[in-house]
Amino acid sequence: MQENMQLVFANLPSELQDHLSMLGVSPSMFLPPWLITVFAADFPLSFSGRLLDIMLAEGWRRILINTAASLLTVAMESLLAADSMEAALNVLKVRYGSFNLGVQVLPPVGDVKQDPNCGYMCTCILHQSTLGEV
Amino acid sequence: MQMRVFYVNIQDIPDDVKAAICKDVPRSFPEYTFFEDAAHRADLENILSAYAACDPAVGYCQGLNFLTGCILLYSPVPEEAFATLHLLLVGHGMRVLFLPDFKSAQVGKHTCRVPAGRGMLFMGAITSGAAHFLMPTELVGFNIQYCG
Repeated sequence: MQENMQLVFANLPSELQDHLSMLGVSPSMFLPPWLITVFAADFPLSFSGRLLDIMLAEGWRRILINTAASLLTVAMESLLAADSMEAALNVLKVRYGSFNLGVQVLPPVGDVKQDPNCGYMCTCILHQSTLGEV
Repeated sequence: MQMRVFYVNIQDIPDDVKAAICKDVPRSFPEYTFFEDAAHRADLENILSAYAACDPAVGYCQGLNFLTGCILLYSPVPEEAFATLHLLLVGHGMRVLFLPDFKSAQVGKHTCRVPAGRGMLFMGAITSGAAHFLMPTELVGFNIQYCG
């Protein structure tokens, strides 16, 4: 687990890496729930469903680690503006913590386009493919 | 083609693992109407119990309920959901995320040892290789039978 969390951080832009370590934000503060639930606890289930599909086809490691890095990179501007550990963690909480709220009906199987957040999430998945091999 | 067959006895799971699973099942996706159905909650509990029994080193870990719940929502036949979970965690090796170097204050860890038993919940025949569980079942690369 430790190794995989380090890999997520290693995949971040160095500017963001430096800023997070300066604030004392360590991967174990927010990454374990993301990784072990494949984002299902905090993100729309259609997002996790799509990730699981890719993971079953290609293996879990690359997609999971790069998606986590990608989500952080997408929030980079707000994270760089944060001036304390609490503020940085709050950025993640506010930005991603409410995605799964209020979702009552599961979209039809395979129909990820129905989820309003899905376009955003798919962008993150596509973005991960531009990141390096893990 | 490589096949694996499991015979697991969920009666053999230690009480603390069973208690942890029972505690977490009602907290898994309570906002989804799917899990308002007691039968679906029972499926989730059975899958988690079966996994804990067949992978004693991992046992049950908080977080597995969300992963399994997500799989179950897309693949509501419990045997297939179990096979998918098993393929991901054991076949693809994602179980390393749940092994002991994993330390976090929020995550309770329960392990168990499984003695040989006669009762079976799941017998799964899982082929190694890729599977897309969002695709129709007949295209999925595993085959599961239910044993009483």
